[in-house]
Amino acid sequence: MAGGKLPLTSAESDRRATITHRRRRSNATTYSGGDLREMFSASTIWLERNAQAINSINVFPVPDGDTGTNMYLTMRATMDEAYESDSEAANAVAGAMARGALMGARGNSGVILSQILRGFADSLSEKERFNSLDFVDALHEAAVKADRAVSHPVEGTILTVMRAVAAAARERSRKMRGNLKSVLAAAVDAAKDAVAKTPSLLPALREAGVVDAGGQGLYVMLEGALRYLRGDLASLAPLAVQDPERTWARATIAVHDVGEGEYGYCTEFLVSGDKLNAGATLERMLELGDSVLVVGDETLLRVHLHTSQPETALAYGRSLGKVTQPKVDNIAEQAQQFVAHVQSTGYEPDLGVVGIVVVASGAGLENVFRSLGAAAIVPGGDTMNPSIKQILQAVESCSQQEVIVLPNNKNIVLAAQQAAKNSHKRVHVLRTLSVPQGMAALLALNPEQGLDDNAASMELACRDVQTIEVTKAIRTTSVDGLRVRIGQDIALLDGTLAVAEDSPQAAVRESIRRLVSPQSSLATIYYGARSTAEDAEALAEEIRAVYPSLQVDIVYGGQPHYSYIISIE
Amino acid sequence: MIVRIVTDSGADLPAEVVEDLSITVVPLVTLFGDQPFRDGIDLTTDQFFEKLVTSPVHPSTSQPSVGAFQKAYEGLVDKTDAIVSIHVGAKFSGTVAAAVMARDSIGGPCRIEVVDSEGASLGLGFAVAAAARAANAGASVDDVVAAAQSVVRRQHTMALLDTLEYARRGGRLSRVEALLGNLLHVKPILSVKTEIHALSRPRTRPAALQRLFDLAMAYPNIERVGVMHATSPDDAQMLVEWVKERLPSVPVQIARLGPALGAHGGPGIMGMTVVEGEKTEA
Repeated sequence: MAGGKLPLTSAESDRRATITHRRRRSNATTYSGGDLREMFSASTIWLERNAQAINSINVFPVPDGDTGTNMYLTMRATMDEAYESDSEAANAVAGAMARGALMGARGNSGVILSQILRGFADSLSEKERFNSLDFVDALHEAAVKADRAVSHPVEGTILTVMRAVAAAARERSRKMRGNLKSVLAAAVDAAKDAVAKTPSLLPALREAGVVDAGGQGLYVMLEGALRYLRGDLASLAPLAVQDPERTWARATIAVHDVGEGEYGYCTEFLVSGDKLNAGATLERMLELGDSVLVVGDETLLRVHLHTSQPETALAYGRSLGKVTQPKVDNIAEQAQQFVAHVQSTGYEPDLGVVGIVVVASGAGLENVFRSLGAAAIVPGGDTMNPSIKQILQAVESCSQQEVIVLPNNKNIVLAAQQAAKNSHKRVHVLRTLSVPQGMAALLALNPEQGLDDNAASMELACRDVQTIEVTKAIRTTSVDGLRVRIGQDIALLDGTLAVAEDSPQAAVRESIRRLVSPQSSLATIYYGARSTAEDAEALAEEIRAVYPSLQVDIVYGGQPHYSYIISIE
Repeated sequence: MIVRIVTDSGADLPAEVVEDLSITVVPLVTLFGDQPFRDGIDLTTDQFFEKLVTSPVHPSTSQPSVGAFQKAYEGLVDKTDAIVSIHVGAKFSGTVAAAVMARDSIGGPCRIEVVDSEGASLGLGFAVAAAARAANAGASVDDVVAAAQSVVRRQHTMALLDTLEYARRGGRLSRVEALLGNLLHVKPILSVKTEIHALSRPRTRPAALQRLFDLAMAYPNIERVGVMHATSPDDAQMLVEWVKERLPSVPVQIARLGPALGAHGGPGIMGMTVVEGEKTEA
């Protein structure tokens, strides 16, 4: 079958210049490889159109890489190969596409997509032309292959969507035999519904309030194909020149993958050889890491995994055949973005045997506590003591059965202890009376150990730190012989009102003078919501000048009411 | 014939020890971008750390090629009928796998035993030295392997990172671990045996050095101590003196950490290895 080819991008428009109005095919009984090519070209164009929207779905805590870009680039490689094939036979074109997809697959979503296309091609392997029943069978085989590609299939992903698509296509085909357009329309509707339901299947999506990006990508592809069958060519006009490779580079800088965070490298490579065994390779890769994907045939395998031993994985590949396109990316490199995400969403990393509940207020302090392994934060402090119920809810929200609570304030210790009594979990309340004590305690957390050992070592650690809290006097009074005027800047040293000055800086200076000894090695200044980094830095410089051997760190605390909270260790 | 010992540069053994004990060292490879540098040959340790700090790309370390091992073994097969090849822990590197592949490709009458040290730096180096001493004393290949494995079991190695920055760049910290203290400039002490995990999270260099020393000295019945540094000879010397004061009769080896750990630890990384004495029969 001759005819024009659908343009992929305008960059390639010299080769695939125009959309040709072909003879309407939607009611024809059988379809050629050329039809297949153009349907998937339309899918690819529609995917490109929607790539940015799909990318934007990728919200932590389910970092998925830029799924739209990954799927689009995978399809581009797929279609490049499809157009390399001069054949008009459906099996030849589908085979070329499957091979192109495998060669060009990027990211988890791309690899699964490549496997969908592999199943599709396998099912059509005997068909030079195909009808809608063949198409339905091919969708089924695609769903089966996609499931097999993943070591531990998860519901609420592209896999679920693919299965729903296959089932809906079969259902429609039973009712309206022979109409590919109708079958595809049913598939598109099913994809849309299945995508909408993904958050109900995958808690991480629900938490982030988004649908699955890979599933959305599949839906978009099917819709593009349907638009082509319906002759809606205007919507498939080429886009302005883009550089997907540049987008890809950005995508690789963005956090890559779902992963469990245990392994350091996202590793991908292709192995070509003969008699390659995907099953055996999958097993070996599972020994080396997680997020394992192994797809391909006897002559070509594409492997993706997250592992601390990328060299070992590549070496295994080399032992099988020729390794090409090796790609090793750091997952952990993205810790910074993850922290940013923690800050923006309150996602709670799951650390160790014992869950830690921290009472704190101030965005900065909350972030520091989280970064040290706090599983839950109860907002609260001096002027807003949290309720027992709030603390109890935080305790219950931990995935662990053993929980340590850091109240960080003497007025909260009792409530915390009541919460502990009312929980079915084993709960220990560590009597941390200040933020610095809480920090010191949390730094001593050993994720490998249980509650008793941790409680003991954290208790010891928090006694090694002294606390300065600087705030404004809210009334005029006299405490222990210290006269305080309203509005003065006062400092509590380990909970005792001891300093009254006329500026926060002066209060800090005097407090430091009293607490810092030759044994002191570290001062940490947590500056509050109403203080500035500049002021804190100026104070730090002053302190360093007076005590050259003292390490002075500045940390944004963002706490209300207290201009500075300072720990001396 | 005397059993010959092969290791890799991840053992961080000082040149004089290598020479005294007639050990063959196959260099690990450091890649800055696509530029490979053989450890100690194309790049000295000083040059490495300078490059680590200034290079726009973070280096990755890789095992020696199978060919490098083949060459090392082939250079020895005329001189001995048995080689014991002891390497960086397979959990950290593909070096053991490369050595095994080289062995399998060689054939011939020379017996080659590949030992996974499960460790790195002097944790490996001490096993290598023990094997070499046994070999030079005329021990059989099985006894040489046993000597190495005995140290593998008894050694404990820990590293103190001055910053988490390089571990993060190198991808050697898991996502969650990388969270540990990056807002508080923690200087973590990590156990480097079989797997890497955090032992302690001190926040100042003096406290970290003290903690490193305390953790090392907490092991009973210590018969050998190693102190490793990358760019901090004074700190290393101080630790050596502390050890000598605490354990006057125990030999202390000082060593320079090469790229294997240095790429991930960054400048300022320190390490200590202790070898516990053999348990006496009850």
